[in-house]
Amino acid sequence: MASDSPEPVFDEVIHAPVRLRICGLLDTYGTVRFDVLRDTLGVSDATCSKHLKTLADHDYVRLDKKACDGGKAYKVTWVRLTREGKAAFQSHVAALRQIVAGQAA
Amino acid sequence: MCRTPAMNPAKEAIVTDMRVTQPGTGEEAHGSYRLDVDALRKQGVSDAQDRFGMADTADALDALDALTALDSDRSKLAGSYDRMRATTVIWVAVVYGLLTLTYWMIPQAYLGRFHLPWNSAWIIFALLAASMLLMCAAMTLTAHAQGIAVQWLPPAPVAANRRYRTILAVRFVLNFIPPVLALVVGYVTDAWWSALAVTAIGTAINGLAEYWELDATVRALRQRTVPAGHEEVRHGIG
Repeated sequence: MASDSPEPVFDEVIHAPVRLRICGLLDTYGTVRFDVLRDTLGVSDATCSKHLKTLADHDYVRLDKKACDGGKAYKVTWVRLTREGKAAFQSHVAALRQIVAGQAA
Repeated sequence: MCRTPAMNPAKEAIVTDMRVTQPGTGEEAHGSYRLDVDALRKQGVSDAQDRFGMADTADALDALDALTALDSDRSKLAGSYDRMRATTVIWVAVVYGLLTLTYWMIPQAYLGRFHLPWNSAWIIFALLAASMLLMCAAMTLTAHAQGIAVQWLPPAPVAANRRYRTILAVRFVLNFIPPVLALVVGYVTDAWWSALAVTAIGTAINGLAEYWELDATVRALRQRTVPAGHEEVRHGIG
């Protein structure tokens, strides 16, 4: 966790629903396998890849391709939040909470 | 704005709040609108409006939806901890049972009760190595099945959970019981049943502690964090 009370900063890159959910899962669970991420979000391979690429382009996530266990030919992609991504996500969530808490008062 | 039947209570509260406090309604004359604006300003909505330019109701509902989705996803993946609970408990119980047996072996080796042609300490090293290997195998296989990389620390919401921390503290204290008992019993007797008994105690205590720990983990991951009046649960998310 970057900080207990991050400064609320709205991030347009993270705010897209799928990207926000990706960041939320990675923030909680650390490094997650691509297929688990895709299945949890209930999106297609292509959609998940596209959003991960957008996040990776902004240095918010890091994708690591590792050889599959058992010497199989394909590689497994593991995804994790970078330090910048974690900070940006927590600031964005703080901004969302501020909006919601303010409106609900 | 349309209200759907599936709207969650927090969302409904916002909508109700915004309906009641619309400017230009009769309620304005009673001063409720002015009061509510003051309350909102106190809560920092105007700050959010200045900063993000999106503090209207629709955006607040979007934000609430986004936060609800985060809770829902986290809860969904928590199911993997729940599914692996029995397997994890068995792994942990076996490893700790083996470790307890290792502690029972220490006095036997020290007092040279086995009359083996080689140094009895090798049995202890072999048991320790087997325990460590089993532990590594358990962690790797569990992580593989869950699709989550091996973590030495629990997820942030779990680590911040009071129930989990209490169970962890209790487990820390309980952890001393099997080794101390095994050392004492091992010193007093070399009967095979005493080895079996301390191993069973080590297995039971740690298996039960692991079960409680996993239970607290799943509960913490399934807690919702969306602000909803006083029911809000604060933990690591955001």
